[in-house]
Amino acid sequence: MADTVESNISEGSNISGASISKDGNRPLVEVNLVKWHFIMGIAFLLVSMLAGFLYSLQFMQIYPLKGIAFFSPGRWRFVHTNGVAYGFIANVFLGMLHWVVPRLTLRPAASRSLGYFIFFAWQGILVATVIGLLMGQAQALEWGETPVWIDPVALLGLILVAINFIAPIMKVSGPLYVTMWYFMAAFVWTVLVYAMGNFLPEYHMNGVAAGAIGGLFIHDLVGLFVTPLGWGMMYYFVPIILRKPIWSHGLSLVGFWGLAFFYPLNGIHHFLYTPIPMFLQYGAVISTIAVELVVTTVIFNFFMTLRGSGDMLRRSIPIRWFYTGMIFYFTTCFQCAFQTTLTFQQIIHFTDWVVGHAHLVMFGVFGFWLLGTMVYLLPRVLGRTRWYSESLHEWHYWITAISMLVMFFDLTIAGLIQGYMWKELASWESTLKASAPFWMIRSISGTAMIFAQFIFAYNVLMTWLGKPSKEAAMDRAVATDEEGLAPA
Amino acid sequence: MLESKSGVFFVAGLAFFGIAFIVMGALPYTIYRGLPEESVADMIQEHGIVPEFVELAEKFPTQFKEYYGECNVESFEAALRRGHRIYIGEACWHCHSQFVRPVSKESSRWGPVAHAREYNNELQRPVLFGTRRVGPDLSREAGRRSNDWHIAHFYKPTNVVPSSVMPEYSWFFDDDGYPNRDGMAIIMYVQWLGSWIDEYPYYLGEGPKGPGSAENIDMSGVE
Amino acid sequence: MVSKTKQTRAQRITLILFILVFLLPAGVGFAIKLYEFMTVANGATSEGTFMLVPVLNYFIVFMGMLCMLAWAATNGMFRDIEKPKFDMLQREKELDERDGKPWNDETLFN
Repeated sequence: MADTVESNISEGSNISGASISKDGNRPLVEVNLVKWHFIMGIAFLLVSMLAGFLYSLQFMQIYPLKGIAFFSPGRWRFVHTNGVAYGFIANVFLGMLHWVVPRLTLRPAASRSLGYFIFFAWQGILVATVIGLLMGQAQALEWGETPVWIDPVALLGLILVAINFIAPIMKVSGPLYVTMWYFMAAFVWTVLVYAMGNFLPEYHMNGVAAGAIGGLFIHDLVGLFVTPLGWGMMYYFVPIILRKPIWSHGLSLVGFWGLAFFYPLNGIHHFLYTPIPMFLQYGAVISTIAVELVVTTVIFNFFMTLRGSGDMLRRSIPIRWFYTGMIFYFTTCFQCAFQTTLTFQQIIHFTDWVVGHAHLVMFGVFGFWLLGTMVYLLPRVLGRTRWYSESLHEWHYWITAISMLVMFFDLTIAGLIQGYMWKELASWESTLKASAPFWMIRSISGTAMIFAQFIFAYNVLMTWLGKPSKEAAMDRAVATDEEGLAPA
Repeated sequence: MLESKSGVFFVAGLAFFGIAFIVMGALPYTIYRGLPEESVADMIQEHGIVPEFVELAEKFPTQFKEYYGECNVESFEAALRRGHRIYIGEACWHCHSQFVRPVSKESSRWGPVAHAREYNNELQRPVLFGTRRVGPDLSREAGRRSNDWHIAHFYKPTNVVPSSVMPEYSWFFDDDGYPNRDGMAIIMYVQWLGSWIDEYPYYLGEGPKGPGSAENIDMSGVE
Repeated sequence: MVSKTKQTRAQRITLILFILVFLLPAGVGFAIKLYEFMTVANGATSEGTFMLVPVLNYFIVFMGMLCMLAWAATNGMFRDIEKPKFDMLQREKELDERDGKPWNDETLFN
């Protein structure tokens, strides 16, 4: 076995990640693309989190930049969600793909110039989106507020991404590793989901039918774009960092096919008790619970892999991000199974419960995974041997994780209070007064979260600039004490 | 590729994805061809101009004439379309829902339960159900409050509702503090929402059985 | 490590157990959906017809997935089901070593 792998790799240079690929003289990994996608991802993370913060101030009756239409809190809300989804998550995923796919397949992405073209085009789309949204040209589709005229361009971009990465995967002969299954599915699904969610409700359908499609879009964007890329990423990085294979590859494939078969039509659970026919709402509830069962297999697999290496949670920052994200993932999916039941929906629909859930999924799970990936890869793509500071990573992790938990519980409780007050027909104003303290806690935890991301960005910048790392200096001082290297 | 049985499956799988994509576009077209959505003009023709529009024209004659001209069906339609665009662009729909559920005593708070046919019109494209209710539901808002209330509220919400968290929309007003073209449009859009239901205007808790009567739950929207 | 690609007994039992406990209920859920689809297609509720599109679509994509699964199975993708996980790790190790990042404790955390 080892021989065949050996023969696949030709001589490479010493630059990180720059092994020459099997066919020709192109470097296997286009390191600059990974780097710049990551940098832009971090930039958009900061921008969209600040936008979210600006929006959250509204809930405490604080209105900075009052009276300027361009800075209306509602418009910042668009920037917050779209910036996170297409600016942060999509950018970092693209960077990750430029690293993972060539290294798994031993073939570079289809075209180098296509990769650069996609990079610039995608940033252009994002900037145009932000400007369009701030000018009040949003499209009334949640998570797809991108102005109507940008939609076709974005779809074209997604198709190009699919072509660029499916090409090397298709050339692989023999059994595929589970990561490649997830990635291939994600490329196809993302294109289909984006087309469905953005074009059908706008041009093809109206009324309740379009509402059902809209619900499906919100749901599938998370489930068929972010989830498969995220899990594919986990199946790649966790074994590599733990230096041991995933516990059961067979079980991981069960998880993949389970997702493929049962995920797609759950979206209606976003609109229970709407005029959408009741039996379809029941169907969505049942298959949501089914998906939760499939999720259990995946989580089980990862924790069996961790067994015996629990120490890594303490020593390795990426592993800590990954497994924290997985615990949050299980939490959100477990929550899903309950909150899609009609009993729960009566109370929690329209409340802050849903907002808490969304934050836990998008940031607590996928945000955490992407941060972990960047912690692992950034020194490599920046050409450094180690991070500027390990202790800043500790600060980054703990502040983010704690403020995420605070925000989640705060919004969940707020949601229950709102739901029950509405049901008891309390006056609308009294429900606002009851929510006010929770909204304040939300803003405070959000501030902490943003602060932590700035710590991370500072760490990245210092590493990039090649500032001597604090720990390296310390290591020299305490000579070669093995324990001195340990806190990672 | 087709010489092996695995190749056949592969091609068939891709073909199914292709068919799915075509069905997604083609089938809705064939189903809805015979079921045209109502245009704004249709709805105005059916339910008339809301009285608040006439009142706006009488109250601000010079501004109204400048922005919308005569008070007629055409100018009302223009105002609704503009208001709808603003409602989307300002993210109103992220804090206000537009449907009344058959649960949680919502029909005694907001009015009759939402029905699918209410959403079969041009201004529900894409549908504005909403997913969060920071402020009240707006689908039964028509006639509930006066134009004056809305003008004061858009200018500075806390003057009217002290605990409100809605931002001030000062760009809906001209330099003299009168509602401008956008201001009139958004007020008209809000005053129009729900004006088509039989019980219009539907006032909060002031139905036939007096304030807060919870018995009157309309279950017509439930299957 | 690389040569040993057989599943352990525990893994095989877990795999079968998960299929029974989790995938089967999920499959039942899907079957119920299919039944509902037939009900609508027979015109039981007029308001539900518009939902034919997404459900039909879901059904077609499901068929596509089924074909892909068959393709993978007939292509021998599941014959030695645990092999890819060892290959992948081995390949990564060699790539890292080629890039001057040998897999020792020094590089474990960066």
